Amino acid sequence: MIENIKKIGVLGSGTMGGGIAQVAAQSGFDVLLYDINTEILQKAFSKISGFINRAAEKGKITRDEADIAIERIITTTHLPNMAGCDFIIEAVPEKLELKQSLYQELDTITAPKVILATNTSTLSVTQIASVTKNPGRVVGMHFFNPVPLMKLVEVIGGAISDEAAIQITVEMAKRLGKTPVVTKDVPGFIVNRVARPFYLEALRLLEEGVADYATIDRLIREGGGFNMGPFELMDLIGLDVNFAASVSVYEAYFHEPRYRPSLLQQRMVESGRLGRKSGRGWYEYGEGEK
Amino acid sequence: MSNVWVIGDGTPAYEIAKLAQNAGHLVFTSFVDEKGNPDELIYEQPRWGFAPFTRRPETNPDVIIEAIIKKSQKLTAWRGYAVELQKKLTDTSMLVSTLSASATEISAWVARTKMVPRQNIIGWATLPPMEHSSAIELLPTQFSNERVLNLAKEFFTSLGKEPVIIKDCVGGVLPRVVASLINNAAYALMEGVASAADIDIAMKLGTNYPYGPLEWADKIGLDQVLGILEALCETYGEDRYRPAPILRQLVYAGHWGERTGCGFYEYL
Repeated sequence: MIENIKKIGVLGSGTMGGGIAQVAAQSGFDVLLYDINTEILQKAFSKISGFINRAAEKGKITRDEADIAIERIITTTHLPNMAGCDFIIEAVPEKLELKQSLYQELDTITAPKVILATNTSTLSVTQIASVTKNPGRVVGMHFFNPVPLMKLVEVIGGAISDEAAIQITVEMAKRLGKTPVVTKDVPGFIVNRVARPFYLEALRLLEEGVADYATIDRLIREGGGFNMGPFELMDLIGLDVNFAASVSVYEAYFHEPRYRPSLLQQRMVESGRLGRKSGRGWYEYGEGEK
Repeated sequence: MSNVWVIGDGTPAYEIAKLAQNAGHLVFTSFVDEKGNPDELIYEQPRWGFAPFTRRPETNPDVIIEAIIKKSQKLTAWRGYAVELQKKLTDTSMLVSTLSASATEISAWVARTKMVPRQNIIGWATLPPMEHSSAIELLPTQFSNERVLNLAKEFFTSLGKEPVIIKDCVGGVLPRVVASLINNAAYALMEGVASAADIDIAMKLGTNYPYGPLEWADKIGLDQVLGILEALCETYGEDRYRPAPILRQLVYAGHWGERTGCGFYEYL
C-alpha cells in the first residue's frame, strides 16, 4: 500500500504545514499544498523554497536535488484538488469546528482508502474522525517544530482508527525520514503529557522556596544532564504557551492532581513576562538573545 | 584521603562508594538488607561487580554516607549500628541522603541513637547515573554546623561534584523532578498509552531528555524511585505524588531495574 503513495496533500501552509510539505518534497513525494488564499500560499512557498535553497547552499543537498524538491510542490486554494492525493496530512489551526468541517469535505472528495492524518497536538483525533463516514482512516500524525529538524512523529490511533491505517502512517513517517512512536488518543499524547512534571514540579520547588529558579535550572542541567533547565525552557517555549498546555492537559484529564497548573506561573503570564519573545521571562534577555 | 563508610541499600550508595574509592578515599561499605539489618559492614552483592570489604574498619570514620531508601529501615539500621559499635562518633560527619526523608527528619532519628550528634549531620541529594554529573545538592539542617558543611563540600568536590546548597526538604531538586517524570511515564505505560520503548524514544527525541524516563528509572533502581514518591506522598499528603501501581508491582516482583536484571526493560 505504502509503495503506491506518490502524492501527499498537505492542508495548511503555516509553520507546521510548510515544514511537512518541505520534508515530503525532499523525501521524494509530490506535494499538493492547500491553504485558503493565494497570498498566504505564495508566502509559504517562497519560505519553503528558501529553506530548500539554503540547504543546497550549505551543501547539505545538491543543487539538482533542491530544484527537483521545489518543483514537486504545487499549491492550491481549491480543496477538491485533493482528490488526486494518496495520503493527506492536515495542519490547519487547532479549532475543532474548522477541522471537523474540513474532514467532512475530505471524506467526500478523497477515495475511502486514502489516509487522513491530522497534525493536531491538543485536540482529540477521535472527535475529529467522528464526523466522517469513514472514521477508520483518520489518524493522528503529530510532528514537532521545526519539522525538518525534529525526528519524532507521534502516530495517534483514535478510538476507531483502523490498525492498517496506523501501520501505513508509521511507514509514511519512516519514509519522511522520521522516527515514529505509536500512541493512544489521550490528551497530550506522549510528549506533552509525560513532560508536564518537568515544569510543574520545578515550579513547586520554586514556590516552596527549596531553591531559586537559576539554581533549579543548574541542578537539572549539571546534576541531571538535561540540555536546559525547566525555567530556561519555559522562557524559550513562552510562558503563556507552556501554561496553556498545562491547563489544557489538566482540564482534559478531569483535574488529575499530577497536572495541576502553577499559580506562580499564571501570575507570570498575567504580568506579561512571557519569556524570550517578550524580552523577559524568568530571565532577562538583551536584544541579541531573543 | 578520608576514612569513609558508605551505608545504603541501592544504586546511589553503590555509585557514591565507587566514586569515593576512585577518588582515593579509604572506603568501607555496608549494605543494609531488606529488614534493615546492617550486614556487618560486609559488601555482599556480587551483581554489582564491586570489590567487597571483608574486614571491619578498625578506626572511626571521618565521614559516614547514608543512602537507605526504605524509611522503615533507616531507624532499625541506625539502632543496629549503635548497638554494634558501642561508641559515640562525636568527630564523625554524617552525610545523609534525602531521597526518602529530609535531613532534619533523619537527624532526629540518628540523634535518638546518640551515635552521631545532630550538628554533624547534613543532607545530600542526587540521582544515578552520577558518573557524568558535575553538581550535587547539599541540604543543611538548622542544626548542621560549619564544620560538617565544609567537610561535605570538600568531600563532594573531591568526587568531582560541585556542591550546591538548597533548603532541606524531602527528595531535593533533581530527584523530585525526575521521580515525578518517571511516575508520570509509568502511568502512561500502565494505561497502555504507548510501549515503554516508544515512551522513552518520544521523550528523548521530542524534548531532548538525556534518558527516557523508564530507562532512567531502571538505572536509578525502581526501589529508589518508589521510595522517593512514597516519601513525597507522605510528606505532602498530595495525590500528585501517588506512585503508579505498576511501579509498586515491579518493585514487589523484585524487578528493580538494571541492578536486578529486569525492570521496565530486561537486561541480560
